[in-house]
Amino acid sequence: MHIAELVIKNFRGIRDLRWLPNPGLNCLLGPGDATKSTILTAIDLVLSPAWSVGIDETDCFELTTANPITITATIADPPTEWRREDTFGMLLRGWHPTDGVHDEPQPGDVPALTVRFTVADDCEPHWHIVADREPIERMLSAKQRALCNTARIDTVDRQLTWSPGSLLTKATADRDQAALTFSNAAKGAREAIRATDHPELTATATRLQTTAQQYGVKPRGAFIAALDSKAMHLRAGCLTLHDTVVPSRLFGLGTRRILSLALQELVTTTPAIALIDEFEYGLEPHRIRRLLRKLQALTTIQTFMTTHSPVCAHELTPTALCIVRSHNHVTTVKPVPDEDLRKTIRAVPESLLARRLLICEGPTEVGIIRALDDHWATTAEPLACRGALPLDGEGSTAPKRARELHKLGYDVMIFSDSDSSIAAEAATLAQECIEVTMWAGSVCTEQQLFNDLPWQGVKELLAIVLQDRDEQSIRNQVTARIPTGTTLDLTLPVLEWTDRPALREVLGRTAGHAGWYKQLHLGEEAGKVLARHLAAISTTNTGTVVETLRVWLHRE
Amino acid sequence: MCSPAGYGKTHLIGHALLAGPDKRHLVLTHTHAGVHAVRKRFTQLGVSKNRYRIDTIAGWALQYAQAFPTTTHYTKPAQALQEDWPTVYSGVAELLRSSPANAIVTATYVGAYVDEYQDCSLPQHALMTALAELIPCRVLGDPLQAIFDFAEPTVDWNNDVVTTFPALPPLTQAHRWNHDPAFAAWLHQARITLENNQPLSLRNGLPTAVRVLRTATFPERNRAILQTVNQKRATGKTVVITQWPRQCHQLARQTPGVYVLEPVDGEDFAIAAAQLSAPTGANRVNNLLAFAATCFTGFDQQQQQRLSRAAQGTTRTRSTANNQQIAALKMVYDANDLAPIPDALTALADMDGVRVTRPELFNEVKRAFVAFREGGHETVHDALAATRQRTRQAGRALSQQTMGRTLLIKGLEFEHAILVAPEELNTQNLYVAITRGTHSLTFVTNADALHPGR
Repeated sequence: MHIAELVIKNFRGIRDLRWLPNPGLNCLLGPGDATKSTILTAIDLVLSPAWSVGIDETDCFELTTANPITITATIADPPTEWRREDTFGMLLRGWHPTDGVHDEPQPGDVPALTVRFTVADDCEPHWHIVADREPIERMLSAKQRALCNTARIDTVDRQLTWSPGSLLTKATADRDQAALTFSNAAKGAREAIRATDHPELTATATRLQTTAQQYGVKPRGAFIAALDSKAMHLRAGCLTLHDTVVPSRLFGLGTRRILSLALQELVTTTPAIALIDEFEYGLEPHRIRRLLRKLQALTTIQTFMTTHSPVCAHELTPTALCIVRSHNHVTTVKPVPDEDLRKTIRAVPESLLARRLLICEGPTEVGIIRALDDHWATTAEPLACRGALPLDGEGSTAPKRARELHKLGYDVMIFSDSDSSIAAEAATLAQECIEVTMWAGSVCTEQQLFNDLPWQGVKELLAIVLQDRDEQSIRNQVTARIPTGTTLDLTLPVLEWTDRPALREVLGRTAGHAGWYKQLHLGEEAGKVLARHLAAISTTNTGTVVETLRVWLHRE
Repeated sequence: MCSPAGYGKTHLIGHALLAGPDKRHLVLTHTHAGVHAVRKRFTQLGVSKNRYRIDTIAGWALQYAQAFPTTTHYTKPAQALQEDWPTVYSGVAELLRSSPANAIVTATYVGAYVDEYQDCSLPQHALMTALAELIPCRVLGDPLQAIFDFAEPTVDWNNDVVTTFPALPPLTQAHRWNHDPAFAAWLHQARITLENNQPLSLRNGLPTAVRVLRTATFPERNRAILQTVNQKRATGKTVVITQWPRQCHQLARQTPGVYVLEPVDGEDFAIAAAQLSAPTGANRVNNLLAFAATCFTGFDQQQQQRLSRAAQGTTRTRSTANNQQIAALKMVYDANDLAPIPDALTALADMDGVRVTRPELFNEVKRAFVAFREGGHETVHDALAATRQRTRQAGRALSQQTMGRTLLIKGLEFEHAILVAPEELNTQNLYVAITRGTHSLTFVTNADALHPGR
C-alpha cells in the first residue's frame, strides 16, 4: 500500500501541487520555504486516523477560507476492508507504475482508491473516497483511515510510554498487562505505606483523632496516614521505557527519534506510511547513513521525509531524491532524472539545498567568493539570503555539472579561468541559459590577481604563501619559471621585491603551477586580500568581473 | 447439487452458512420473491446477517456494470429498467476474468451459492463460471423445474452445468411433505415417471391428499373450483394454477376471494399506465372505466357507458346513483393534468356490487399515478418503474387465495394447490404445479392420465 498520486490545492503555502511519489522512500529536498513540510502535513491530514482535526484560516491558502482546501491522495493497493463491495469497492480505480492512475482499473493495474480531504468555508474537515466516474462521494470514517497506519515520527516522548494509543502500546500484544502491572504496583505502594511505621505522621493523626472526638467526630477505626489511590494519578501511561535506571525521556534526541522509527517497524506488520520531518535532527552522519540504509530496504513502509542534510543527499539513491520548488505558489516536485547525476550529487551534495549555484573552476575561486561574500555582507544581504552558493566544479567537469543542476531547476552560472576548455564551450552554454563568466584574456585566476591588484595587494598575497613555505623555496619556485631572456633580481626578501610587470607575470604563473592558493582556506585568504583592494581596482578587468558576479549572485 | 422440489435446498444453504466460518458468502437467485423467501428462511434458522448477502443475479451484476461502465461496456438504457441483460452479463464476466476490479469480490466474499440454477440463461451461466474462478461456487437447482416463457434459452443441466460444476450427492428427504409420507411417496414416484416420459395415472394409486375433480360442463367446472376453494379456506393458503392469463382473470372473476398474481414484469401495468395518461379528457375517462372493468367483477358495459356520459355531461338520464364516482370522473375529464386519476380509481373501487379481482394491478397503477402526482418523475412510465421497483424490493405478501401461472408461483409453498387443466402443461410446468401444495393437490380435469410433452 502506498500513495501513488498526491494533489494539493489551497493548503497553506501551496496553491497547487500534483506529484507522483515513489512507492518506497521519498526524500524531499529543496531550499527553505519550498513548502516541503507542508507536503508532509498534507499527507498527515488526508490519512489522519483522528476523528477530527483542527483547521482554521491559517491553513488556507492566502489565509482566506474562500479558497477551499482539497488534498487528494490515490492509494495503490489499499487495505482489504476498503475494497469490499459494501464499502468502497465500487469506486475502485487502477494504478500502473508507468501509465499512472486510471479511473477504472485496467488489466495489469494495481487496484487503487482515491481519498479526498476537503475543508470549505465552514472549516469542517471531510474525508471521502472519490472516483471520476461517480458523482456521489462516500464518506471515509476515522477507523477506516486508521487502517492506512499513517504516522508522523516526530514528538517522541509519548510514544516511549505505555499510554493508550502510543506506539509501545500498539506493539504490546497483551495490552491489559500494562494496566494490570500498573494497578498492582499502585496497590503494592499503598500496602507498603500502610505496613511501614510512620511515627510522626501517625502521632499527628492520633492527635487529630483525640481533638475531633471532642467536636463529635469519632472514626470507625483509627485515623492514620495512607496513600490515596486517587491522588496517585498513576495510569498505565506512567510506565515508560528505561535504559536500566535512566528513563527514555532523558535519552538523547537522536536516539529517541530512532527508537520511534524502530517501534514503527514493530507495530506495523501491515504496510504503513511514515512521515519524518527534518530526518537528520539529532543524528550524527553515521547514524543517518545506517537509518537510511534500513529505510531504503523496507518494502512495506512508504516513507516521506524532509531534510537539509547533505548526508542524506549523498547517501540515497537518486530515485529517492525529490527536488521541491515553489514558484508563484505552485509547488513542483521533480525526481532526479538519471544515475549520472549521482556523481554530481555525491561530489557536491549541498548544491541540492541551495537555489542559485555559481560553479567555480576550483577551490581557489570558491574561497575567493566566500571572502567576497563576507565583504559584501557588510553593506548588502549575505548570499545565504538568496540561497546562492559557490561550488567546486572541478575544472573540466564544470559544464557537465552545470548542465545537470540546471536540468534540476537550479539557477546556474559558471565562473572559470579563461585558459581552460570551458572557454570554448561558452557559446553553447549561453544558448542553454547557462552564463559563463571569465577573465578577459587567456589567464588563470592567480595570474589575474597578480596582474591587477595594487603592489600592496601582491605583497599581501605573497605573505599568505610565506605562512606555509620558506623564502628560499618560494624563490626557487619563482626562479624556475622565469622565461629565458628575462632577468629578475630576486635576491631581496620576498616581501621586499619591487613591482615589475615581468615579475607579476612570473609570480602569477608560479602561483598557478605550484598551487599556492589551490585550497579552500588559501583561496579565502586570497579573497580577503582582493576584498580589501576592491575599491581601488574597480576599473580593471578583475573589478568588472567581480562586479558581474556580485550582480548575478544578488539578483532577485 | 440437483435436488427435487421440497427437499430443502434453501434450508441446506442456510445450514451451510451456519456451519461455516464467520465470513460472508454471496447468495444469488433469480427473482426478488426468491430473495425474500431465502432471507426469511435464513432469519428463521438464525443465520447472522453478516454471513451473507442475498441478491438476484441481475441485481448483483448490474451493480458492477453501473460502477465500471467503461470496463463492462455498459450504457444506461433510454427507459428505466430496460437493461440489455446479455451485454450486462458478458461485460461483468469479462470484468471478473481480467480486471483488477475482481479484487472486490475476493475482498468481500469467501464463496457463493446460486439457487434455482436451472433457470439461468446462458449469459448468466457464463457469468457464474467466471465467478467460480475467483471464489468457490456451489450451484443448486432442479432441471425438472426449468420453466420459462421468454425467448432466452436456459442452461442445459447435463451438458453445461454438470460439466462446469462437479455434482454433489443429492438430498434425499422430502421435507415439505414430511407430515404425509404417502403423499411424499406418490410425488417421488411421479417425478420418476415424468423423468422417464411415462404417463402419470390419475386413476390408480392416488394418496388421500390427491383428488381429481371431474365435471361435464364448463359452469360445473367453475362451480367445483369455487367449492373447493371455499372448502380449503379454513386450513391454509390456496393457489389455483392455470396457464393462460385470460383464463386466470376470468376464473378470478367467478371465484370470489381469489386474487390474480400478476407477473412482476407484466406489460399490463405499462399498458394501463399509458392508456390512463391519454391526452384528451374523454379518452382518459373511457380508458379509466375500461381499466376498472378489467380489474373488477360486477361492473358491466352498461354501467361503464352511463358513467362515461355522466362525467362528460352528455347524460340522458337523471339518475342519482354513483354521484361520488361521477364527480371524480368529471374532475378527470375537466383537468388538464393527471392529478385526479388516483381519486377516481379509489371512487370506482368503492362502488356497490363491485369486487376487485386484480388488486395487484389496480393498486400498483394507482400508486404509480400518486407517485407521479407527488413529483420527481418526468413521465408516468418512470413513476411506474419506480413504484414497481419498490414493490419488487419490498416484496409482496401473498393473499390467502391466489391464482396464477406456474411461472409465477414456482419456488413458493401453499397448503393447497388446485390445478386446472393440467393436460395443457408440459413436463416441467406439471412438475412445478404438483409440488406446490404441502397438504393437498386437486386436479380439475377429465383425463385418466397425463401425457406431458417436454
